[in-house]
Amino acid sequence: MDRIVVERLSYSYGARRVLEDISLRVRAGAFVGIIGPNGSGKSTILKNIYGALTPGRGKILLDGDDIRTLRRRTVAQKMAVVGQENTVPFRFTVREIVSMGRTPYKRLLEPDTPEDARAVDEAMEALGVAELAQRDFSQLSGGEKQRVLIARAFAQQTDLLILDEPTNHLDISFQLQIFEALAASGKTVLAAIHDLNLAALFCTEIYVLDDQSILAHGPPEDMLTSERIRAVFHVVCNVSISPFTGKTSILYRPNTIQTEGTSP
Amino acid sequence: MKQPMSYKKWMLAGALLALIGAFFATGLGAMSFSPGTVLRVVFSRIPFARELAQEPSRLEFNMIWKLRIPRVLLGLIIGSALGICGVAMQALVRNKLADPFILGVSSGASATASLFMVFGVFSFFGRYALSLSAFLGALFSIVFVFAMAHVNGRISITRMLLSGVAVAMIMDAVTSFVAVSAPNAFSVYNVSFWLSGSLAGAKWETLALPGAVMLLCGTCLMAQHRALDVLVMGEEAAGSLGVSVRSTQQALMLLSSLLAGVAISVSGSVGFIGMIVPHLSRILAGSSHKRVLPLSALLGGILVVWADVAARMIAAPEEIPVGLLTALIGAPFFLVILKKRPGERTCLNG
Repeated sequence: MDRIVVERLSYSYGARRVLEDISLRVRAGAFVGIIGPNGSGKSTILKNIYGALTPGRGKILLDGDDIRTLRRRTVAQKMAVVGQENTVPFRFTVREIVSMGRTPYKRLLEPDTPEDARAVDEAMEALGVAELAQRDFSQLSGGEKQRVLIARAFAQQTDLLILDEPTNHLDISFQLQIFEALAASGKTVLAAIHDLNLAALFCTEIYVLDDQSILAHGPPEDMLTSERIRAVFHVVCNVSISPFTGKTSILYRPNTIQTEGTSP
Repeated sequence: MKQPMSYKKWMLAGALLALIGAFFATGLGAMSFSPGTVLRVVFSRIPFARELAQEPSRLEFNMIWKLRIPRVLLGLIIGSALGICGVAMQALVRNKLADPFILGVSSGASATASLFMVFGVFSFFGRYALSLSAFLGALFSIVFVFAMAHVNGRISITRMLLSGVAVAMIMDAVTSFVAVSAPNAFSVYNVSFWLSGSLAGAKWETLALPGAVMLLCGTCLMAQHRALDVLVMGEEAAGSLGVSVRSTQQALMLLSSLLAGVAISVSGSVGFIGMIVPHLSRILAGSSHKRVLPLSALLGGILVVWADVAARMIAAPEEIPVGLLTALIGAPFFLVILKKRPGERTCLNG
């Protein structure tokens, strides 16, 4: 079953065309990654899907319904989003932030129920931030903040998650921790991912975005070939199936290292 | 788990303290009365308590019942209204520096209110014309400043503060101009009243409208407390959490200009309350609007009542405009917050 279908989406920032004729689909249970160079439009696709931008042309379906005809609240009960912005100008505790994930289920003046508290506890457990519950969010490290925001998305109890470069600027341990939590949750995931090795480790399907449009899509081992990576990212690399992980693994070779005989 | 309990207890204790404080504040001023006298006056108005206490003198009755008590009550109402107005405005622009005074909203309200006083503009609104004209001025200013500061779903702090300054300058010029061109049309409402605020005009009749507006707007804001929390997280986040960002922002603009407009039409611009009070509330109770709103109403009331006591007493028998006093405390406070703005780093990638 398709959770998200994007049909022939085009988008421009003013006169600058950013997306051209994008089509993609996210099946239930899939872990879909969008990869592509900086500025290729990864975030713009996601922003169109979660309603931060309004599509110029094209259609976006959520569970078969045109997303623009759905109420915000209905969408928020089906789909949780972790965007890139994480500034919180006021002092909120971690628990208060995670509790905001319950907003789409709350009527005016309705108090928190034990069910809400349980959802918040489970979300904090799943991301390993339970012990930070009473800490001030703005005082946390980047990795902690990001896990808290993902916990907020988990507290929304949707089985569909959209993440925009969720592990940007994080230590490798946090990167793995976050992707492990996402994979373990069994949720359907659509994420913009900048680290190709992480994409190879966790994605079931990858869309390669370059020059405003989708270049190719398919399983990671078909998408992440040295030819394609060189064409899209302009780097020389060696791609192999790692005996250590059993997954596609990519090694980059900078121009400063000259080796003889090895084929790029 | 235990926090909500202790918060409720603190709020009850605070409310009690505010009432006791207001009682003592009633006796203080250029002419001071003992708490016993105040009590006698209050008792003389209660049907069955009348027999318990000695009848107050005519002077005591007039001073306390007709002037002081409405004045203290008005202080409580205005303070609460400005406190929650500040909370609403700060949630709207996601910034601790927002306040009706700083963003030119007070000036807008004063300008349209003084226009009404002199030229009878908006007089077709009838009895509530003064408050309504102040509300319209406030609404105009807030919509203008918000539109100026709002760029691509974000609030530019620099643009917000600068456009607030510009609006305030224009509007204050209008107020002064009106005052100069029609000097005799003002009675209590002179130009210094509009520019620096005073509770001296308080009467029992002037309490109902601001009181009702404060309660109504407070309830509306309280009903939205989750949306306010989420809005502070940013427009994108708020939208993805199911909050309709545009209509919440419109509601906030409407409610804060109602609060500011009505407060200003009865008290002039008492500045900085809307900034200091939410800030203190957040330090005491965290930023959840469920707590910040009631606490700000409480603290705002207390602050204005006591600032007004100081205004009555410092230079007695003369009175200092209470807005001067709040500005004297508020402006340095503003600078301190401006200097240490934590968590303002934004991280953005494409």
